[in-house]
Amino acid sequence: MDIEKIDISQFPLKHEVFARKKELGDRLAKMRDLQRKAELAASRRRHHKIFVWSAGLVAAAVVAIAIFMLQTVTVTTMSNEQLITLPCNSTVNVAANSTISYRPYLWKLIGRNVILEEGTAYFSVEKGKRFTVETEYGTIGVLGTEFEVSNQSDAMTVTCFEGRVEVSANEAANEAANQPVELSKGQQVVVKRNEVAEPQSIITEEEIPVEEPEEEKVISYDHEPLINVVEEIERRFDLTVTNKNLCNGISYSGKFYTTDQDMTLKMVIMACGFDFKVKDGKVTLIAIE
Amino acid sequence: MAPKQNIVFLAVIMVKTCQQFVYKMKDAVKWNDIVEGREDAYRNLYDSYGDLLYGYGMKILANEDVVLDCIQSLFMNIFEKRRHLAVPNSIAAYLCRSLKNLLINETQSATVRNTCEFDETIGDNYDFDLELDAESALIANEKDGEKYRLFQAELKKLSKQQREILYLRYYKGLEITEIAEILNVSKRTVYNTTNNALSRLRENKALASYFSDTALLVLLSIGKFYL
Repeated sequence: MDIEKIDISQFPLKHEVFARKKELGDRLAKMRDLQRKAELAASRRRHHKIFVWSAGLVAAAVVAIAIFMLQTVTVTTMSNEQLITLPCNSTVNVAANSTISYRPYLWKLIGRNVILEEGTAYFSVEKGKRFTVETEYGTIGVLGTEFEVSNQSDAMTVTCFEGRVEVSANEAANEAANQPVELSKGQQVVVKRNEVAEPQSIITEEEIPVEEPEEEKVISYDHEPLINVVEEIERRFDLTVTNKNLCNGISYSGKFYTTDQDMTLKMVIMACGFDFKVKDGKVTLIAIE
Repeated sequence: MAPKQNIVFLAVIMVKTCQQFVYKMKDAVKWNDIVEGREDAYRNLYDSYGDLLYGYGMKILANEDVVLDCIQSLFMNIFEKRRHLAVPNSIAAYLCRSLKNLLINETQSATVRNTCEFDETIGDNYDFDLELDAESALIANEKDGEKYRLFQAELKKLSKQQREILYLRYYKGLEITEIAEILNVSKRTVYNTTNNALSRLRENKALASYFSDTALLVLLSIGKFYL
């Protein structure tokens, strides 16, 4: 028979030659290109969207934090005074019918700043950064001291009790008037609204007498042995008391006034059921029969 | 079988296994590039499989425009869905099966054409015609012409599945496993069908004289070892 090798694949088939192969290949490449560009644009839009959203969120957060930080605490007293502790442990004693305000969340960030809107306040400032009190009339700056600020109808009075206080007028017309005035212990200054013609008259200084602190004027006792009270009276009024052995075993509850000798002697000694005589700075206790 | 023959078969199997492994590795690497959307990978894919797909597609539906459209949508589908596609066992089988589904969908309804996935319910209402191209063949004499006519007549007598398997196996050189995947049948079925088809061709005494028996034998035995 026939020896020639015939594989069935040697019979050529119709429709086997891919005549339009290149045409289709080019079309596919073009479509792929278009699609890839579309995908890229879509992903870019997505990223843009994400960016816009995150930027919005950050902005909202910043605004929220800013609003929180800018919160102002305002204290207004009616008929009685009020003691306020500031974030740095400084205290303000706000007198009746006064208003102060401050920003507690910016206290450390921006600086210690209290606005006295009206009335009088007594400040006891802890040492630290510069502490300022603003009023309608001027600014008081300190580092750590005790002072009082009082707003009146046409001026303010600043009194310094301890340390040093720097006072500057608000509406200074010129350089000279804008120079801050320094108060030392026991000094007081009155600041008025600026008058351009007389810059010197804005600020006047005067020495205030160093008084006994007010709480020293009245001394209260509660079940104190009378002998101690009598010794205190001797010391305060420079007296000598004789016949002191009468005091043994008696205790005293009450007050005495450090300014009024006669009143105090009467109150203390007569309250304990004794009589007394005063002669040349000597007091003799007499037991009543 | 003689021991010498056994050694030859063993060697052939080893070489084939290695080749298959290498092809699989190549396929995996290729597919990775496809998933990444690299332009040269798509060009390669199209250059390697365009002819196979065109020939196979034209057998299912003898309409060049539709086949081109389907090949185009197949490649575009792959590009669009590249991130969600699993690595196929064989790219050739995957592409052939996908194209077949597309073409069948095309014939069933012109509107539904979005399937790149395998649909098990696809009908078999296509006719896998293997039409010999007598004109392009070099027919030297009357005897060659007769040979063509005989072979064509025998092919017509075969079943559709037999023709399809013969085509994929001997014209396109696909592996048994790949053919099984394309037709969605077992390897045993592919092997049996091939065997039956070849036996039938050989039954025709006039035609059998044109085939070299040894060539068929080698093909069959390799197929056998792969099962």
